[in-house]
Amino acid sequence: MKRKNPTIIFIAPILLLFLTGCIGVNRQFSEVKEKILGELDSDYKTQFQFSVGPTLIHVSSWLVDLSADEEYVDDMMREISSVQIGIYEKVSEYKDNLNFNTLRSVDEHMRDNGWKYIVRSADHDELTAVYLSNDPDEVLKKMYVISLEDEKLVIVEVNGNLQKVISYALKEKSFKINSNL
Amino acid sequence: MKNIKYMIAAVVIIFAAQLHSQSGDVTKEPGYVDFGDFTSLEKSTGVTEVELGEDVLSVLASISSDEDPNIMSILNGLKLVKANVYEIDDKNKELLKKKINDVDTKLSGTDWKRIVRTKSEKENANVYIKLNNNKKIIGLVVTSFEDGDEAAFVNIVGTIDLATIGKLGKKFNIPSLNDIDGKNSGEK
Repeated sequence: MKRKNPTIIFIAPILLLFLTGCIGVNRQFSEVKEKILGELDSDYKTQFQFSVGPTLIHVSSWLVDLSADEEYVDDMMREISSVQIGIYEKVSEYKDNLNFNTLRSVDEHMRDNGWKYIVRSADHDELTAVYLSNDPDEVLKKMYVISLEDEKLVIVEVNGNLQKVISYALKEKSFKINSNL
Repeated sequence: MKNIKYMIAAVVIIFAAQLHSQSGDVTKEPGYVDFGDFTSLEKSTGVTEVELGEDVLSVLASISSDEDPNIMSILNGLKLVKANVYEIDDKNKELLKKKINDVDTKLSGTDWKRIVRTKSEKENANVYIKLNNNKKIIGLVVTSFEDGDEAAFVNIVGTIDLATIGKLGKKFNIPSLNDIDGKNSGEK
C-alpha cells in the first residue's frame, strides 16, 4: 500500500479551513441573477462569481488590521459573516431598454423570496436596488444590493451584523447633529 | 357548553389577530398620506423610490446613543419614511405638476397644516404637518417641483422632531427642510 504524502495531509485541512464557503454562490443568488438577466435582452458573461465565508473574512480582517491605517474597516469586516458577489459583463451590442418596470419585475421575485426594497432607482441606463430581509428578526442582518450600470451587472449579498457595520461607519464619519447649528 | 368556549376563544383570537394586523398597517396611521398611483410616471428617465418601514427605522435609531447623538437619532418614533423622486422632462412635467396640485387639494381643508410654501415660475415646494391632540407632529409631507431638475413626494409618518429635521436640513442643505424648525417657518 502506497503511503500518502504527509505534506498533502498537513496542507489539505488548512486549505479547507481557509477556503470555507469560497466556492460558488448559493441557489437563491443564482435565481436572483437569472431573474435579472431574464429581464434584459442583452447577453452577459460572468466576470466573477464567488462567495466568501466567515473564516476567510476573519483572515482578511487580520490582514486589514495589519496593513490599513483605518481601524474601523477591520472592525466592520469582523461583523460580516458571509458575502456573495457576482459581476457580470455585457457581451452583446444590443442596447437594453432599462426602466423602472425592469426593477418592478425583479422586485416581485425578491418579495416572493422574503426580501423588501428600501431603495430602488432607475436613472437613465442605470438600475440600483437595495433589499433587506422581510423577516423583522432578520432586519439589518441580510442585505442584497443590485446595480446595473456601465454595461456591468453587480449583485452583492451581505450577511452579518449590519447594524454594527453602519454604527462603525457613522461613528467614523461623525454624522453628529451639532447642537449649535 | 364546550363548543361555546371554543367559539368564544376563536372569536377572541380572530379579533386579536385583526387588531394586530391593523396596528402593523402604517397606511392606517393618521400621518400617512396616499399620494395616489404613480404607475404613469414610472417610464420617466429617472425614478427613485425609498421606503423605510418601522422595523428598519427602529433598528437604525437604536444605533445612536445619548452620549453620541448622531444622525440616526431622528429616526426614533418614526413608522415610515417614504419618498418618490422623478426626473422632470417634457413628457411628465404636466403630470407631475398635477400630482403636486392634487396632493395640495387633498391636504388643504383637512387637519394637515401647510407650514412652508414657495412658489415661483420654475419652482414649487410645500411642507405640511399633522399634529395630534398633544400638539406633537405625527406626520410630515413634502412636495417639491423644480423645473429642469426633479419632483419629489415625501411622507414621514410617526412622531417627528422638527427642530432636528431643520438642523439636518441646514447641515446637508436640503431645500424645503432648512426653515422647517420654526425659526423661519410660515407660508412664504
